[in-house]
Amino acid sequence: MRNFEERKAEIFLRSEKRIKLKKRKRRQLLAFCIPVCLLGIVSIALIPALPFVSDDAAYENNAPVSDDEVIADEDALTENAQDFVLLEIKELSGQSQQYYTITDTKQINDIFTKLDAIVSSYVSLDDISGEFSDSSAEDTQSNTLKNKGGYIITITSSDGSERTFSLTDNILSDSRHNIEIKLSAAQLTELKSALRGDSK
Amino acid sequence: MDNGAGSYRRFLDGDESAFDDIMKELFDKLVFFIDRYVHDIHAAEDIAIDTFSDLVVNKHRYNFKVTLKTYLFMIGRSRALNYIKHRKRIDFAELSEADNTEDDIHSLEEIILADERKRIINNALESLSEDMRVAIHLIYFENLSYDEAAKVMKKNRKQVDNLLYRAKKELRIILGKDGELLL
Repeated sequence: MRNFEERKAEIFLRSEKRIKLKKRKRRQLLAFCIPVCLLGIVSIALIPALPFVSDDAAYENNAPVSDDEVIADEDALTENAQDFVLLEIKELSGQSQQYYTITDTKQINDIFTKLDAIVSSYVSLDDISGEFSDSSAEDTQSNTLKNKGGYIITITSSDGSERTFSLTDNILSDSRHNIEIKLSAAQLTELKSALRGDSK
Repeated sequence: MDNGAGSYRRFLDGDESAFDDIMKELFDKLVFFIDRYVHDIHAAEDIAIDTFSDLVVNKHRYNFKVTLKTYLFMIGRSRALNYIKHRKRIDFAELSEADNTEDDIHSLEEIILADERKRIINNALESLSEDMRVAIHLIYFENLSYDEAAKVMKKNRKQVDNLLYRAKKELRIILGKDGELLL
């Protein structure tokens, strides 16, 4: 065993070593913490300046549309209607077929407005303003119409996309939305008048 | 008697000699106490040195709410248990050290166990459990109060009381008629 002086020397020697170790650990901790803190501060300062879409904003974008927005969308739809360049009408009656072609954009818009007014009361605006492409539907409708008689109306827009409606008796079909709408007598008369009278 | 608290206060005020006073008063007692756990007088001395270096390194950790002796014994116990936990399976000791170990223990016993009564009890303690041994040591050899002993052992007063009761009962059996007079 050590004598008194040796013990005392050993105590102070170990104390000195432990104090040095403690200081070194503190320095290491600071060397780690200071850059991390600075990085944190810089991040906090920079993040608000970045273009950032919050979840709330995204949620607002998905929120139900207001009446004003619906009106704005309808206006946009009317503007799109100005892009129509061709309207083809195929009239089927028993075994006979007749074709009419309309290139007058004003007249096309007039017909489209009538069709749109009927269809839009049944489907959402998003669906109506969707793309005009369903060429395969026309064949199916032709087969039905050959038996019953009626009209196939194909509207072509300036970008080449098409939208097809068919009218059998008092049923108007929209091939894109796969819906059938029963027309009132007034609607039927008005639509047929637009198709026959103005197109000829 | 403040069990070293006054001396430590002087040491904190810059009086280096006060540390000598603390060491003279408490070092051997601490080594003997730690030896109760580690059963190795050299390791006990080493742990006691580390315990005292705590007083130098962490100067303001001691809050003077308990006696310095109790505080040192608390740290000593904690370090001793830590030592036991991490002690390697095979302990290596130099032959010269091993030869001196018995002498060292006896010289330490002579210092701590001045009277015959304490020596007889000390010899009988080996057959008791560690907790009982430590409780007897703190109360009878170090003259700590029950509360102080409870703090050192991290037990409550009642547990210490129970340990002492059971320890005395066993010691009476071990020591026989002599034990009746000693306890």
